[in-house]
Amino acid sequence: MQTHLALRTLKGTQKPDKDVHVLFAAQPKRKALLFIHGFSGDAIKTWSDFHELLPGRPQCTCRDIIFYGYDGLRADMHASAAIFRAFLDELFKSTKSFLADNLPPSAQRADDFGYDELVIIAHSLGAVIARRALLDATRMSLDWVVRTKLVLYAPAHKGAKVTELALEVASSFTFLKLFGIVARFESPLIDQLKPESQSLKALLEDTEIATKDGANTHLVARKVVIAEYEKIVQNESFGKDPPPDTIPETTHTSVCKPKRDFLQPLILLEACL
Amino acid sequence: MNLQLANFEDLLDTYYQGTEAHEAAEHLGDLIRGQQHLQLAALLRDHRKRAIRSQKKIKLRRATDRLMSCCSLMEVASLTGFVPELRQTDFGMKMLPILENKHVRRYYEELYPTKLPQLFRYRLAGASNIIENIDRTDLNRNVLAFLALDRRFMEKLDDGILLRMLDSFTIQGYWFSDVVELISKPEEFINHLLLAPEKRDVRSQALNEFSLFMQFCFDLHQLLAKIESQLLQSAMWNHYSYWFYIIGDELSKRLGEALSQFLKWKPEGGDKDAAKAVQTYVSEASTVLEELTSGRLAEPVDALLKKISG
Repeated sequence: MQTHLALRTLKGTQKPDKDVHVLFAAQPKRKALLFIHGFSGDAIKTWSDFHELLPGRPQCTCRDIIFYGYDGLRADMHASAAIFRAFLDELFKSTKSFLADNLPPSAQRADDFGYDELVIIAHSLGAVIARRALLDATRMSLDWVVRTKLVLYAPAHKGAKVTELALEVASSFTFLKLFGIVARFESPLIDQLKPESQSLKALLEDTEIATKDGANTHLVARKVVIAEYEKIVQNESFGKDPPPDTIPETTHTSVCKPKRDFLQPLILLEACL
Repeated sequence: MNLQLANFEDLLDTYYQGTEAHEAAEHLGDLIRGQQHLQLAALLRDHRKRAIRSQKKIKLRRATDRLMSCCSLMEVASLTGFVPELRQTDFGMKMLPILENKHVRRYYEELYPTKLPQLFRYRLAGASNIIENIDRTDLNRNVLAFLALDRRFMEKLDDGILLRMLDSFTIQGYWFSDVVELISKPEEFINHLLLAPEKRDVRSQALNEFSLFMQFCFDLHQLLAKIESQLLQSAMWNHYSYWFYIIGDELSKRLGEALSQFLKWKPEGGDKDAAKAVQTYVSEASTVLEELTSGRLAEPVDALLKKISG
C-alpha cells in the first residue's frame, strides 16, 4: 500500500535557502519526523535509505517525513541554527500555508491541521544546529518547542575534526580521503567545532542551565546513537543525554544509513516513536 | 484521499506546470489547431541538417523536449498504476492530438527517437492499457524511489553543464577533455571540488556534476536491479535513453576516459589501501556505465511497442 506521496522539494514562503524535501503521509496523524544532516551532508543522501524504508514501517505510515537542507560546509553555525529555528517556527505556526503550497489539490488537509509532535533526527553538526535552535526557541518562549523531541546520530556537540570529513563527504568519490592530499579548505566550522571552542562550551552551559531541575525535557536527547569506528566527532556524553547506543561496524557517515539488510539505525529511531 | 489522483496532480505539477512543458503544449496545440504545417516542420526539423539559430525556436524545442520527458514519465506512472487512467483527463485529451501530429511524431520517433512517448500515445488512443500486475508494496516503493531519483536528476543535472559537455557542446570554451585533464591532477581536482559554489568556474562546476552524475548512475543501476518486472525496468531506463542509448557510446567513452585518470593517481607513501580503493571504484563505475549503455534494457519496451503497433 502507498503510505506517502512522492518526495517533493519544498516550495513557497517557508522554503529556506537550501532545499528541503518532504514525504507527506497519505493518512496524516499530526506527527512528523524531521531529519537534519551533518557537516557538508546532503538532505537526503546523508540519511539514505531512511527515505525509502521509513514509509513502509508501521510507526511511520501516518507521519510526514521532512529532510531539511542547509549549507553544512561553509555557513556559520549560529546563523544556520537561527535559520533552522525560523523554519521550525514557520512549520508550526504557518502549517496551513506550508501545506497549501506543497500538497496537490486532492491531498489538502483540514484547516485546523497542525503538528502535535515533531521528532528531530540530527546527524553530526546537525545535532549542534538543532540543539542551538531549540535552546534559543526555549529562551524565546516559543510554545511549539515542547512538541519537539531530539534523536541524535554521531552528534558533534563535543567537537569534531571537520577538515578530515570535508574530503569524505564533498563528493561521491569515497576514495579521496585515502590519498592524504591536504585540501585548501576554509570554513568557520573548523574553529566552531573544535572541542574547546567557545560555541560548544556555551551550548553545553546553556543546555545545563535550561534543563536544571528537570526543566525543558525537550532539550535532552531521547536517544544518542554513535559509531563504533568514529574518527570525526568526540563521543563524550553531553549534559543529561542518555548513555549512547553504539552500532557495531559503523563509521561517522555509515551510522545513520540504514539499508534493507542493515536496519539498526532505523530500529533505534523507532524505539523513540 | 484518492491517492492515484493525488499522484497524478503531483506529477502534473512537477513535470508539466513546473517546467516549460506546458508552454510547448500550448504552442504546439495552437500550431496544430491552426494547421500551421510549415511552422511546425521548421520548428521541429533535424538540427543536424539545418542548425537552429533563433533563440525563440531553441527555447521552444527545449520546451518540447520537456514535454516529451513529461509524457515519458506519465507512461512509467501509468504502467505501474501509480496514476489513474489518463485518457479522459484534460491533460490526456490535450496531449493526444499533439503526440499524433506527424511533425511531432517525426521529432520523437525518427529525429530524436524516444520510446515512452510512443507508448503513451497508444495508451491515450486506447490501443494499450497495460498495467504491471506485481506486488503493490514493492511496486510503490520502487516507483517512489524512481521519482525521487528523477527529481534529483532534474534539479541537479538536467540543466547543468556536464551533460551538455558530454553531448559534445563546449561551455565558455571548455570541452569535456578539459575536465578530464583536471582529474589527472589530484591536488587541483580536490581543490576545485571543495570550492564554494559562488567561486566555481565551468570546470569546477562540471567536476561537481561529474560526481553527482556518477552517483546518479550507481543509484539508477541499483534501483533497476531491485525491480523484478523487466518491462518496468526497461521503462525506467528508457526515461534516460537519450543519455544511455542515443549518445550512450560517446557518453561511456568520455566518462571512461575521466575515470581512468583516477588510476594514475599515486597514493602517499604507496598506500596499498588507497590504490585498491580507487581501482575498486573505477572498476565498479565502469561496470555500471557499461550495463547502462549496453542497450540490453531497451528490449522489453521495444518488444511491447512492436506488439502494440502491430
